[in-house]
Amino acid sequence: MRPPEELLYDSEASLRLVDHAIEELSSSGTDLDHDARAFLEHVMSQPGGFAELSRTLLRAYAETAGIASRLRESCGMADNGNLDRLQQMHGRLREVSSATETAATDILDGLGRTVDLIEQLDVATSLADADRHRMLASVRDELSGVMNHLQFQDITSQQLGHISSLLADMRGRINQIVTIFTNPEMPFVPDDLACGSFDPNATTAPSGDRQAVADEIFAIQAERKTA
Amino acid sequence: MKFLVVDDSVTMRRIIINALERIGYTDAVEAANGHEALGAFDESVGFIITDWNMPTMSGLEFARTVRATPFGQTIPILMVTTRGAREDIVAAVEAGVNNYILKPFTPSVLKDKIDRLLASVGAAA
Repeated sequence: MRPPEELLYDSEASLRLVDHAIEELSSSGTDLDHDARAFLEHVMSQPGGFAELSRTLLRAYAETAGIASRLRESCGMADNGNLDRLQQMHGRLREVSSATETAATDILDGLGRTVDLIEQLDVATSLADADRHRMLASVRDELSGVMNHLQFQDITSQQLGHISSLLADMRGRINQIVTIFTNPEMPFVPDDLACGSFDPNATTAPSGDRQAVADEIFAIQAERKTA
Repeated sequence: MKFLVVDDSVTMRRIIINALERIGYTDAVEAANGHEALGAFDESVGFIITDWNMPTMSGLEFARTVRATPFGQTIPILMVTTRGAREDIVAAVEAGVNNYILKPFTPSVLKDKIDRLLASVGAAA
């Protein structure tokens, strides 16, 4: 237990500090919000005003601490995995762009060769039937190849579906951060954005190696059935 | 032989049906997902080509459902998909898929798989 004289001395010192702070606030006049200044003057003019001021300061401290905590929480959410998602989206978009360009080039090449074949057929008036059939078969093959290159549309559509799902996820996280500030009491409800059905690993790369794995697995299964 | 071609991409369905026509199979019905395919599936269908990733009902679920029907137990099912992970392929085997083609594919690979499957069905009959 501290001696009463010491307590009295400390209280007086504290009151002097508070009085000095209020003086400073009062002298900063134009900078201080009018309502806040009026509130302070009102509080201090009341009996027990100092205790009321202490409670107000404590409430202000609690609110500030709450905001700081929510800021920390939202920073964590913003950092957590979002960079990875952005990098994934960037990679996916580059892949889509490259696949589109490759397919367009292949289609143009195929059409160019088809046009050449048709021009040859057009000028060759005395072609033997066998040669004519061979050239027409080549035209058919080229056109079929052109159609086959259009598979890129399905694959890139799945890649875009993946990007769309990543964006939906990021939107959900941003909404979550906004909710922390606007209505911290409200539980977060994630967005229900349908992004369709897609394979997140869909690729337009040649399927040779992956096809070999599939063939091996199915060959093993066939052997088991016959055994 | 009637083919049932199931894919949510119209482009892919047209590519597959075009490839089928090029190798002599001109009778094909198409569906955009497993549910639609079940509606189109009956005893007249002799071969199923299905994608995996589709809305409403996936190709995997469709294959399982077909295998549970009385006339779907022996019908050849060929899956054409982008999913190349080993566990995916094993899951397809377990669902009753008979063979598997990875996208992007060439018409010659499609022809080879169809020929092999039809030959194995013929040998089993």
